[in-house]
This record gives sequence, structure tokens and C-alpha cells, in this order.
Amino acid sequence: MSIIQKLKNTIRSRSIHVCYVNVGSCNGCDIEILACLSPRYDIEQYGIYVHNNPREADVLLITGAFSPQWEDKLKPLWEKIPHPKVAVAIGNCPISGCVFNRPETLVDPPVSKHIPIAAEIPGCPPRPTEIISTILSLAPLIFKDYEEKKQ
Amino acid sequence: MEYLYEKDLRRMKLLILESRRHHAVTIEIAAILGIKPQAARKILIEECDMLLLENLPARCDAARKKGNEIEQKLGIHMLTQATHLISPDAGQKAVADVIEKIESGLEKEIALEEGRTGILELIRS
Amino acid sequence: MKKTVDISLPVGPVHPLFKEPCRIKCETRGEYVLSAEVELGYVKKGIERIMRGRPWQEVMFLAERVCGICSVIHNYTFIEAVEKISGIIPPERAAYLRVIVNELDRMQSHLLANYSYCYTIEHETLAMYVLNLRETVMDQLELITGARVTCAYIIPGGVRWDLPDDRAESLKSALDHIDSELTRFVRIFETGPFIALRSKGIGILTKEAAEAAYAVGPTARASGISVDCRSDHPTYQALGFSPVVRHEGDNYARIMARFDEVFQSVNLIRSALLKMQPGPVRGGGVIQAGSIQYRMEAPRGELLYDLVTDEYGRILEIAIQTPSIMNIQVCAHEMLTDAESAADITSIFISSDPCIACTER
Repeated sequence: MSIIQKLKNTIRSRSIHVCYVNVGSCNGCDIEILACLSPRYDIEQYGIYVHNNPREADVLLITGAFSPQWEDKLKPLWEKIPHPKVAVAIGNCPISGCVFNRPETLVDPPVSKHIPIAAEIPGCPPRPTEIISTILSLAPLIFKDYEEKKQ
Repeated sequence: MEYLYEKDLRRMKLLILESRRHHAVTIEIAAILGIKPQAARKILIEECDMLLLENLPARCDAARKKGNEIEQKLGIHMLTQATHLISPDAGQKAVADVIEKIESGLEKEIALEEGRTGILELIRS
Repeated sequence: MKKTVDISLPVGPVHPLFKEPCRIKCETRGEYVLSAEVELGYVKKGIERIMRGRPWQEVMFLAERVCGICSVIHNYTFIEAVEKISGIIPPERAAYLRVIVNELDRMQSHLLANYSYCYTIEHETLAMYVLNLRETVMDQLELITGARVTCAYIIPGGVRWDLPDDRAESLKSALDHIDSELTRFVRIFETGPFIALRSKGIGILTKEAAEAAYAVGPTARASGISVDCRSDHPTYQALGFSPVVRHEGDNYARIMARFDEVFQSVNLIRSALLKMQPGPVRGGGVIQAGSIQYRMEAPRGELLYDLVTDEYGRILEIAIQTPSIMNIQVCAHEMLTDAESAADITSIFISSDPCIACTER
């Protein structure tokens, strides 16, 4: 392993920038992500920063069951995120549509039809601890030795 | 360059107007203007932004009982205050016209009918 | 919107300060905001369409998922509406337990709203204090109902389970903690000179404009309109409820009105705990055919359920009018117009406590 790769690994393990996008959720999952910011869970002690800006994000958290307005907007948003990047589906909605996936509905789950999803956290909504532990266990899998794996 | 966000919103606006309470309000506005509900829906979709459309039933609740008899019959507060289809000044002018016509001896129903046509032309122009 | 403008400034849909996607299009001259327009449709799920023709057992859970922040009140309103249709009267203890859970939900919603505002004006210290206090409320909510957000605690004819004495004790000590902590935070908010600069006299909503747009909840009460559906509710009347009204009508008044309502909720829960007598919490009953328009006070204002049921307990027709619709509309069309600076757009918008998920359903 080259020195520069080692340096990148060290820095990346302590600086994970998170952006969350709501593609038609009921807000339940969004407030659980917000709860992660509170000093009780203290997401920043693990080096995770919630910026909510796609252009400087590493991890994209997706909540919601994919409403029609996002059809042509989620993909450009995903492309704006610099590499290495990973998308995590939070809650039942992006996975299956939860209670909204019924006849007459407007939503179009799952989100994995539109962008690649690396991990899914089921739950309606999942607990803040589950969200944090998923990000923490997923990040090393994707970001460690990213440049060497790519070659 | 492609503009992602400046899209045609008519379909989304129609979805808003499909709800039970919105449907009742659309029929009410159609009756005020003397046109079919479909035509009233078209006017609403073209003139109002999405937020105003969502809030239509509540605004109409606030505006319905306002004003004197002529104003209520013409539904002027529904059109000016609730839906912003015509400006308050134009609304007051339309009411004044109708009152003037009634005072000059025209029958009330005909005067109201003429007032309605005038308002409709104002909206469509 | 036919005015001479320098620039048409769009904000959103994905914005660092918004919790939810929505797009505000502002017409500006320099920093001065001439008018604003809001585009929605990013979270439209068509809940009313799904609900139509389904049994109440399913609609109950769908109603809860109209909004994740104020889920208890949607559950509460729907259940009380079908109870009113069918003539079911819940046991007294269950009625008080409903009030306790509803007020806990209101507290966490108001604390979240005030967290968002403090975060938007970049007072991160106070924001984090308030958000941490909200966790105490969430713990109590979880202890009583079994879930943090979507708890489905209220069922026709009562509540799902009783509140044991040891949990009531823990609730009391949590209320004391919240009371003492929040007094400190409110003093920070009141005396902070920079908070005053960003809040006082900004985003003014006059009483007339609020009445015309049918503004509700803390947004209307901060403009001097005394509307609160809780004063018509029998359980709240028994607890001696009277609404909090302020008269300034600016951002500061709206945030302070929410802080005051949190204190009010603390006192309501305390008096409910005192008045509660041991007894059954589930009465049972059968849902019958009928139609009703039922109003209750959500954290953001008046919530209306307009529904028709048939004799098998199915929901034939339903319309939900949520408070955020009125408040966001009045915010976009009245408060944002004539804002002095483009930097105030987000703080004014957040101060009206917008909930896009409610608005679009």
C-alpha cells in the first residue's frame, strides 16, 4: 500500500460528510436523522458531519418512497456527489414503499431502481443508533483503499 | 443547458384539486362565475401557484361570509381575497358597477348576470 | 409577479437548512425581496387517494404517517372523528392519557421547530441544547407508548395500554427537568443581542393578513389572534386550558409563543396526572356509518378531518386539511414579501414551522 493511500484512509475514516434527501417521506425518518445530531447520540464524535450539501457529501441518506417530481432530479443529484460515494436507504419507504405502496398511490418505490443503494436500514422509522451504526460500518467497506481497489 | 426545475406543473396542480374539499370549492367558484367546473379548474390551475391551491378551502372558509348581499352574490371576496383571481380594486369597481345598474332601474338578476360576465372577462383577459 | 426585478432567486429543493424539499422562488431587487412563490410536489404521496375505500384499521396507521413530526395528533384526530360518528365515549383515564401523549408530542414538535430556527440563525449552541432537551421528551414518549415516532397509541374506545405508577413517576421527574432546563434556555433566547438582531421586527405578519389567509396555530397566536381548538375540547376544558397569545407578529414572537406553549404543555400534563383516577383504559365499541368534520389542535395549528364511513367501518371519503398549508402559504405570500435581506428568507420560512409532508400528504 502506498503512503498516499494510507494517508487517505486515515483521513477518510474520520471525516464522513453526510447529505440527506427526502424523496417523499412522512418526515419520521428525517427527524430521526436530526436526532443523531443531538449531543445524546453525538454523530460528530465519529467524524460524521451532516452538511446536507450534495457537492461535498460522501454518504447520501435517502428517505421516502420516491414521489413523481423526483423522477428526473435524483439521478443528477447523485451524479453531483464526488467519488467515492455511497447511498443508504433509511426506513421502509425507499425499500418497499411501506404503507404507501398500495393501489391509487403516486409513489414509485423502490429507490434502487433509480440509483445504486449500498445499504438499507428497515424500520418505520429506524432508531438513531441504527442509522449511526450503519454509516459507521459501511464507510470503511467503501472508502478504505478506494484508489487501489479501483485500479 | 437543460432546466430541471422549471417544469410544467399542471399535472401536480390537478392532483391537488382532486381532493374532496378542493372539489367542493371548485364547484362553488364555477357557480359564482357561471361556468362549468372543468373551466373553473383550468382558470385556477393557470392563475394560482401550488401553495395557494392547497390552501384554497381554508381561504374560502375565511372569505365566504364576508361583505354585503351583492358582494356575497357576486362572490367578490372569494375571487379577490381567497383566490387572488382579480385585484381588490377591480373587485370593488365591479360591485360598484352592479349597484349603480340596480339603482338606475335595471332588474337585480340581470344586473348580477352582467356583473358576472364582466368579472369573467376580467379574469380571462 | 410582473415587476421589475434584478434577479429571480430560487431556494431549494435540496437546501442545507431545509429538512424537507420545497422550492421557494423569490423575486428580488438587490437584497430586497419583492415577492415569493413556492413550488411543491416533491413529497406528494397521495395518502387521501390510498385511504379511500379502506377499513379504519388500515386508515388509522396511514393517518399517522401523514406527518412524522406530529404523528400523535393525526392518530388522535382520526380516532376521535370515528368515535364521534359511532357514539363511542372513551373511559376517563384513557381521555387523560390521550392528552398526556398528545402534549408530549406537541412539546417535541415545538422543541424541534425552535431547534431548526436557532440552527438557521446560526446560534448552534442553543440549537443543540434544545435538541438535547427534546431527547428527554422522546424518552418519555417511548416509555409510555413503546415507540419514538409512529406509536399508534390511541385506538377507538381508549388507548393501547395503561400508564403504570413507576412510569408516571419518571414522567414527573422528566417534566421537572424540562421545566428547569427550558427556563434557562428561554432566558438565553430572550436576552441574546444577536438573536434579537436576527429575530425582532423581521418577518412581520399583521393580524389582518393572518385572518385573510386563515393562519392558525402559533403563527396566528403570535399575531394576536386567539384561536386554539383545544379550548373546545372537553378534556382540555376540564384541565383549565387557555391559549397563549402574543402581539408582536415577528419571528421572535413566533418562537417565544412556541416556548411558552411547551411550558403550558408541561403544566397540562402535570394537572392531568393529578386528576387521573385508576380505572379501565379500553372501552371498546363498533364503528358505524356517518360523516363528520372534526377539528383539533395540532402542534402547528388547526387540523381538520372530513370523513365519511360506511356500516362496515370503511372510509368512503376523506379530506385532511393540515395546519402547515395555511401557515406556509401566509409565510410565502405575506411574511417573505418585503423582507429586507435575502439572508432572512430561510429564517422567516423556518420560523413559521413549515412541514411539507403535512402540506402535500
